[in-house]
Amino acid sequence: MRLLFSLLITALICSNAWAYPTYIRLNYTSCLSCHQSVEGGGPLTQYGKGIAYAESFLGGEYKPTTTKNWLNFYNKMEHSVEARMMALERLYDFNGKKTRIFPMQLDYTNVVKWQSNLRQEVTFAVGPNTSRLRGVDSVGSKNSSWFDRTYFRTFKLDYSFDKNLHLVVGGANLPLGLRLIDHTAYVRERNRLGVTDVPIQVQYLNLSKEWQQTYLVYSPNPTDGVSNREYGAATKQEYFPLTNLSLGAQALIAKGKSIDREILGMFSRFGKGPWALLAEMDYTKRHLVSSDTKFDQWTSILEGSYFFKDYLRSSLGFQTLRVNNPFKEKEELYTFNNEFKFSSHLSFILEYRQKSTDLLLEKMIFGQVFLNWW
Amino acid sequence: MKCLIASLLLSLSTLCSPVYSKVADYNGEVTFKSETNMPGVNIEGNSKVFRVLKAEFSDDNLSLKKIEAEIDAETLKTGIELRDHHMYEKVFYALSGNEKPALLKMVMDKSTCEKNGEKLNCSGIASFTFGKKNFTRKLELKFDNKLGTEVAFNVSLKELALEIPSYLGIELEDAVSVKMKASKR
Repeated sequence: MRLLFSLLITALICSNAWAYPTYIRLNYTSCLSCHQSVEGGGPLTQYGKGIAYAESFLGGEYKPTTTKNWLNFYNKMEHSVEARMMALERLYDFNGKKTRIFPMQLDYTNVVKWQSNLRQEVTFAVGPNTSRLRGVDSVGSKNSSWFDRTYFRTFKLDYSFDKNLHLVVGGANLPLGLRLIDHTAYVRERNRLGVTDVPIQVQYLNLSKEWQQTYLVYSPNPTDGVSNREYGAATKQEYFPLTNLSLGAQALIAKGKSIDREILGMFSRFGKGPWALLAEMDYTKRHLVSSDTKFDQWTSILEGSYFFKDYLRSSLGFQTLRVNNPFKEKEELYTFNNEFKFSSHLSFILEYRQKSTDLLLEKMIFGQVFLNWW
Repeated sequence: MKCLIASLLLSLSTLCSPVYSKVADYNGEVTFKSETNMPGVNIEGNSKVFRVLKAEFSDDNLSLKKIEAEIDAETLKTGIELRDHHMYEKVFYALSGNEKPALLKMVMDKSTCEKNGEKLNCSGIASFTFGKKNFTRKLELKFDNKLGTEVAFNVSLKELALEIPSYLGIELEDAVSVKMKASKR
């Protein structure tokens, strides 16, 4: 009851603009039609806002505003806010506490279009306050101030030579693999620091009807701790043999202060009618510099979705993590996810998760409310 | 007895006749595809309500005398309801002069055919009527006993005197590729 009440309250006060890789079922191979950012995610284009309306339960036509005032820098600036409230229920007793309800994400994004081909995007994010969480993970954690929990999730300049060639300079998550919203997915371990992994990058993107090619080099974010600093280069190549099928591969090589790593991976997206299938598999090799120890692991995800309606989706997912060296470890995660897009601004996700390791079986239910304002 | 003989003759004639001449045996599907000004955005749609009205072959089954087919434009779907609504409004109602949604009709009454094993390959000029607009295309139809028949052609929106449809910055290309497929039931 408390969980339901919290979800409703969040729904009343607060909307969602993450990338939907499953939209390939509607022949959208590129993120760029709906998202301003060439890598996907974040602020929506006018067309993306129209699709957000069309694909929601409330539906309707999006009417672009043409107001010019100082708030929107005379139509050059856009503001958006994304908020995510999460409720987590563990289906077993641990320390007498089973439920956590907490604000997961609060982002303010500011976009300035300096010219038709030059765009600046800054996202200022506030992370959750772990000390105020009601649940198992709050035990023993220290209070942290609002200021301590803020960081720049994105700060970048995007220059487009034409509609196919883009140069992006600045800080952002590495734009590799499937653009999954779930940052806890095993394949997203490439983001070493989770959502706060924001290296400084120079990206070159080449988009065409049949290819999307990304080449990037990166250096540490000045706010990274000394031991976390990493320099690297990566590439992602995605090929579209059909307008509803993508085949992709990626590679990353990085030198860190304490760990060097290499990643090789492949991924695919497919959709037909109400069906969508996402798959990714990555091989990661790490080298711990201080002790000359080598780590070696496989991560994968396979997710099948069925859209009962454009706004109502159910999916079954299977994820694996296998560590081969220096010790053997296996984790498997089964997910049953249901998403309901109520309006262009408000979405709900309810997910059941079952994680198993050699020693533990963990069952959880997640409830998430996403709110976007733009 | 007369009935029995008649039935026998009828069933024999059915056995002897080529399967591709039986119009009622065909189920049709139409798909269309258009690219846009944005890489990675393709508009595709289909309809499974494609009617083959007439398919007449010569007595020796070596040539196609006439084929007629039609489709109600309103049965074409793109996967997004709002997009379908825009398509009907900006294209199909515009083509029919806003009276009723356009009907796409195809008639091909002259063709030259070549038999290749079980297949019959025919080519000819087909006339299309789309609402109040007419156009012609040279088509190649391949009839196959097992797979039915398939034909592909391009439609130019400008040729139909239509305004190129656009929505919030995404604009269709002029050429729309259309594929009609009729397969055996």
